[in-house]
Amino acid sequence: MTTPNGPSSPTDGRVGEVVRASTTEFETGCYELYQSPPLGALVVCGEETPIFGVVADSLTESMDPTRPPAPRGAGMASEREVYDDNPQLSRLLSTRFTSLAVGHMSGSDIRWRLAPNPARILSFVRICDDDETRDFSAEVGFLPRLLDARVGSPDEFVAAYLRRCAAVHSDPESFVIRAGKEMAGMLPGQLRRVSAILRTATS
Amino acid sequence: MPLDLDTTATQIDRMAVHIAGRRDDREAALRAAVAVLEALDKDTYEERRAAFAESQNRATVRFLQDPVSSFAPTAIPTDLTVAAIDGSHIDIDRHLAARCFLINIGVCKLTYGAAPDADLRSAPRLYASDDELVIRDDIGERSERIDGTILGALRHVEELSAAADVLEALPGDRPAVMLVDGPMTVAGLGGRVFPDFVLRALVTEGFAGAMERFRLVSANWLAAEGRTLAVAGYTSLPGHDEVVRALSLALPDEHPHQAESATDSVLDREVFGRLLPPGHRSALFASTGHPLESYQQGHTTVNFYLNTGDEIGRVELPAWAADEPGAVDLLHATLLDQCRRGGGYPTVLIEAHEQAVVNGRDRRTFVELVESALADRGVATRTSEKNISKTVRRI
Repeated sequence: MTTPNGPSSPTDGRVGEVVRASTTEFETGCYELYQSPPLGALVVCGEETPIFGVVADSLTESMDPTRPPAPRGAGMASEREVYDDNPQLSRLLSTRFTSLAVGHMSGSDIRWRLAPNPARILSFVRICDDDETRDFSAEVGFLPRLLDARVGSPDEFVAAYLRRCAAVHSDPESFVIRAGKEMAGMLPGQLRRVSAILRTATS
Repeated sequence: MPLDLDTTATQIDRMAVHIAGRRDDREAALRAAVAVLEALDKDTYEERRAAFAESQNRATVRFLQDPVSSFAPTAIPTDLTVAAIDGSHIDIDRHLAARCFLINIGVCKLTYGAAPDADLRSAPRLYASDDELVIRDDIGERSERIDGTILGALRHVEELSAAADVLEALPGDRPAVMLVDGPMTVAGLGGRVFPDFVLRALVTEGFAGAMERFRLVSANWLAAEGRTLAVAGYTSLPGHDEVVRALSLALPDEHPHQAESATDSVLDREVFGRLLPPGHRSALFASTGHPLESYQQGHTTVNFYLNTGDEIGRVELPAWAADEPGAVDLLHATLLDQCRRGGGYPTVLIEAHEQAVVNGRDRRTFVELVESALADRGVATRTSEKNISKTVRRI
C-alpha cells in the first residue's frame, strides 16, 4: 500500500480542497475549473487520518448564485473561443465534486468503514494512484451502502468505480465477477440491478 | 406605519403627467442645442470662450477638435490587458460602538490574446486610528473629519492609487487599458468650501500623485517598447451638461441667459446621441477653469462622448494621454469591445464592481464583527437607543 501523500510529490494528483464534510461524504472545491476527477474515481483527503472517497457527483456553477451564466458564444466558432474571449469566466465559475466516504487509513492499515470523524475543511484532496486503487479495491463490502446514497446516480457511479478498479487489476474480469458475487450476496432480491451495474461496468 | 402607497402613487402619476407634458419642449430644446453645435465655428467659439473665461472666471469647455466631428473606432489589438478598479465603502456610523470606516477596493485584470487570463480580487482596509479618521494640516493644528463627501473623495483617491499599483506591476509586454468607474477627477469637492489642507491632501497628493504615476508608467512603456497605455474614467448614462451650457458662447448676439434657457435641461448625452453613429466617439474637449485645477499640479483631463451602441458614455482621460500616439484610439476601441462583451457596459468594470461591492449582508456582518471584537476584549459596546429601536421593533 502506498501511503497517501507519501512517496511522490505532495502536490501530485491534488485536485482541490474539502469545502464541506460530514461523516459519510465530503465535497471538494477544485483548484481548476472542470478539473474534477472522473465519476467513480477513488480519491483521498486529509493528512492525519486520510479518508478515502468515491466520486459520486460533480457540479460546475456560478460562484455567485445571484449571477447565473448567460450565453456568450453566439457567432463564435468554438467553445474554447468563448472562454478565451471571456477570461474572467474561469474565476467566476467553480467546479466542486462530492465523494462518498468509503474508508480511511489507520496507521498504515486500510479500514473499509467510515472514519471516526469527518474530513477537515480545506483538507487536500487528490486522486488515488493505481497502486492505491488496487489495494483499496481488495474489499467491496461497502458498495451496497453506496447504492443507497442520495447523491448523483448511485448505480452509475458504482459501475464507474468498478470499471476504474478493474482497469488496474491484472485480471479485470475476475475482479468484476468477484465484486458482482459479493454485491449479489449483500443485495438479496436485487439481482437484476446488480447485473445491470456489472453490464455498465464492463461495457 | 408603512409608506402610504396610494398617496405616493397619485403623486408619482402627477409627476409622470408633468414630464410627459414637457416632452415637446424638451425635444425643441434638444434640436436647438444640436443645431447650435452643428453650426459652431471652433475658432470663433474659442476666442469668445477665452474672453469669457477671463472676464467671468468661470469654468468653460475648450474643444480640442472640431466639435461636431465624430470618429470611427480603429481595430483592437489581439494581445491586450484591460484592467479596472472600483471601490465601495462603509461610512462612519454614529450608532456603531466604534468610530471607523472601511474602504474596499475591487480589482479586475483581464488578459486577452495568446494567453487569456483573469485576476479578480478585492482589498478591504479599515480606517480606525485617530490619524486615519481625520485629515490634518502640516503643523497639526487643524483637522477635518473624514466622512461623507470627504470619505467619498478619499475612496476615489484610493481607487486611483490602486490603479497605479496595478499598472506599475504590469509587465508592459502588451498594450493596456486601465478604467475607473466614473470621472477621473475627484468629484464632489466642488460644491462646498473645504480647507486648503484638505484639498491639498486629496487633490494634490492623492489625485495628482496617482496621475503622475500613470504618466510615468505610460512614458516608460512608450520609451522602452513603444507600448501604449491608456487610462480613463468611464461614466455610464452621464448627467453632464457642460457642452450644452457652453453653447451659449456660440450665440454672441443673443443674451447668454436666453441661449441657456433655450437649451435648459438638455444633457450632453442627448446631444451626442443625435450626432454620433453607433461605435463613434465625439471630439475631445476639456473643461477648464475648474476651481480645483490649481491643486492638480497640471494634471488636467480631457473628455469625449462615446456611442457604445447601447448608450452614450462619457470618457475622461489625462490630458497628456490625448497627445500620446494611439492612446485615444486604443481607449475608444477597447471601450467598445468591453461594452460589447458586457452587454452594454464594460465587462472589466462590471467585474471590478462585483469585487468591490459591499452589500447589505456584508454591512450587517461588519457591524457584528466590530461589536464582537470589542466585546471579546472587554470593551463595553453601546449603540444608540435609536439603533436599538430599529433592531428590536415592537408595539
